[in-house]
Amino acid sequence: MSKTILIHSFRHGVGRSTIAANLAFLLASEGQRVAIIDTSTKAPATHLLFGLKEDDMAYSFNDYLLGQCDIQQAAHNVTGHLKESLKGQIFLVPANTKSEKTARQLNDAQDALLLNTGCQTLIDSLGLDALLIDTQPGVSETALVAITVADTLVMILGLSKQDYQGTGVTMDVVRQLDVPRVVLIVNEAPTAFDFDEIETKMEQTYNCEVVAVLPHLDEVMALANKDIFALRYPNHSLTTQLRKAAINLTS
Amino acid sequence: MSKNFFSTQYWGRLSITTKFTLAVVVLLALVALMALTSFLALTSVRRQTEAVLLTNPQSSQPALEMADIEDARRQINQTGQSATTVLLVTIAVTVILAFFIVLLLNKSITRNINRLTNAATQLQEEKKRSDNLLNVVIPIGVALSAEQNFDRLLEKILLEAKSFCHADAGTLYLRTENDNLNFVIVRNDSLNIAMGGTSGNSIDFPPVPLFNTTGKPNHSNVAAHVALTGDSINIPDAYRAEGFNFSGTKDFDQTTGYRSTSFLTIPLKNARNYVVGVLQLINALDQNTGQIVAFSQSLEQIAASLSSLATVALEAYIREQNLRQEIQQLRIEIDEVKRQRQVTEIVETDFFQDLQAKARNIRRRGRSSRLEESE
Repeated sequence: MSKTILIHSFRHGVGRSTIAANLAFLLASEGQRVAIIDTSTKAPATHLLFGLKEDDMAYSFNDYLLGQCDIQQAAHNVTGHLKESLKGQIFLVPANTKSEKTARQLNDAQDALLLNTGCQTLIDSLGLDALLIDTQPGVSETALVAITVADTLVMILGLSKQDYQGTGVTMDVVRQLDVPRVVLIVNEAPTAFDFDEIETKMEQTYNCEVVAVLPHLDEVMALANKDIFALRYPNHSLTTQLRKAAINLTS
Repeated sequence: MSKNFFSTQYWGRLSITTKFTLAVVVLLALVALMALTSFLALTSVRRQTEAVLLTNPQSSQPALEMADIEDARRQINQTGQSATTVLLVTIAVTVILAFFIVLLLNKSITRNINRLTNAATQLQEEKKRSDNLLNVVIPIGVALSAEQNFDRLLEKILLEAKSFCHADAGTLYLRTENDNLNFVIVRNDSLNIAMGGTSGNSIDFPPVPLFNTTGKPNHSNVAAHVALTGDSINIPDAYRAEGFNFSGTKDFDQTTGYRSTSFLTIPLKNARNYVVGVLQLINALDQNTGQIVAFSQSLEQIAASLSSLATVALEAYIREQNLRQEIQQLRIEIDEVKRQRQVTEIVETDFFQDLQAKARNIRRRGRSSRLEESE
């Protein structure tokens, strides 16, 4: 049974796309067939991580919403773009940054059905084991529409006051959309902190499972969205943590 | 720019080669003068002799009168004697002048050699200092940065500085928020005293206030003075030091029988020039004799470099500690009223109501389709 995992955050820049790409890579390296749909049409980044140039995107997620293509046509197999051969496969449904196309994004309740159909079609036609959806941050209509199709919602947050409040609001709203499983990933935690304590406090505050507390690392910053961390540093402790999280999310 | 040939400065600035050339020229001139004088003297003797022979026609004749001959001989002798005198005087003057020139040259050469020797010594000391920096101070700095235990870090700072400067004793003070210097590590090898740090012995010395009760800065205590000014103080003998009150030290000496002598007191200054602590080394020991000596200037400089690295390590530790404290008080603050309001604002919209219905629909369909799948 395939899982639809939504990677979400309240704020921009907490590592949503980076984590989504790494999770997809790690699942594929375990032999799974994975797809990522980038619905964050305002500032898409996932295609950069997989080395997919905008000129090579015949169709994007926006085209699917516009009814200009089938969802399968917008799915690009990016497995070959990676420097390593994988047991599994990675497909990417990218978002297009060209202005005339970004005008169309998930913003109507009706789009929930369209997205759901798209997801189901993709899962069936590509024989996916997991489908990851990278969202628009916050509680915008686009984000809320995407949430309706998630089996698991992964909320990513950093240790900032802004995130604490925003994540609280988002979690309350998400719970009213009947998402079966909601989990947290704390990202970019300063290494000086006691990670076990962060986990406990987060679980208490949001009354939900914390899948991982990931450290703030200069290596991650240095990659600057140019490469996938788990691919570059296969034996790093962060990679181990991410792999554990990926397995947890698909189990 | 006018050249004053009479000033010592002008001559002093001349190179040794120029001076030597000048001296040789003067000597050659003197020798030439001597030769000229001799030549003139001999010419004069010859002329006089000829004159005597010419003026006494009898003398050229075979039969000479004794008186004439005697007269001629006397005249020749006289001329010869005066020529000899001139020669002797010239030789004497030459020798004396040569002597002085050699003396002057010798002085100049000695001065130059001394200057060269000094430069060589200085160079050697510079090299020693840079070697020390590279091979001792920097590795210590690295070791300090890697230290995870605060007590051990403090202890290491003092012990490394103490061993490097061959000091018999030392104290590390840390500045508190209320501007006191707390004794944190105390060591005295000859008295076998180890307090603070990993020793397990507490320190009962009262803290040194940087300001007295009226807010006046405490410059009489050398550690407080160093903390207040941020400048190192190197004292060869505390008992003879002026301007500082060493009564506490003297009391300590009286009870222990110790003799605190040389003191090197260095501030631990951070990048913002704020003194976070003071490192005090007591009684430098001569490596060969074991005698108490003053702390040398080069040691003072090295100790200052070491203390800046120690400060970096200390600051990093304190920063990390503060972060840890913050997480211990990590209150994930959420304004519940605001949260409720924001949630309500979203879920009460028609859009959300519609979406919620659709979501239910999707979930129900998802469940049923999965049920079908599993069947």
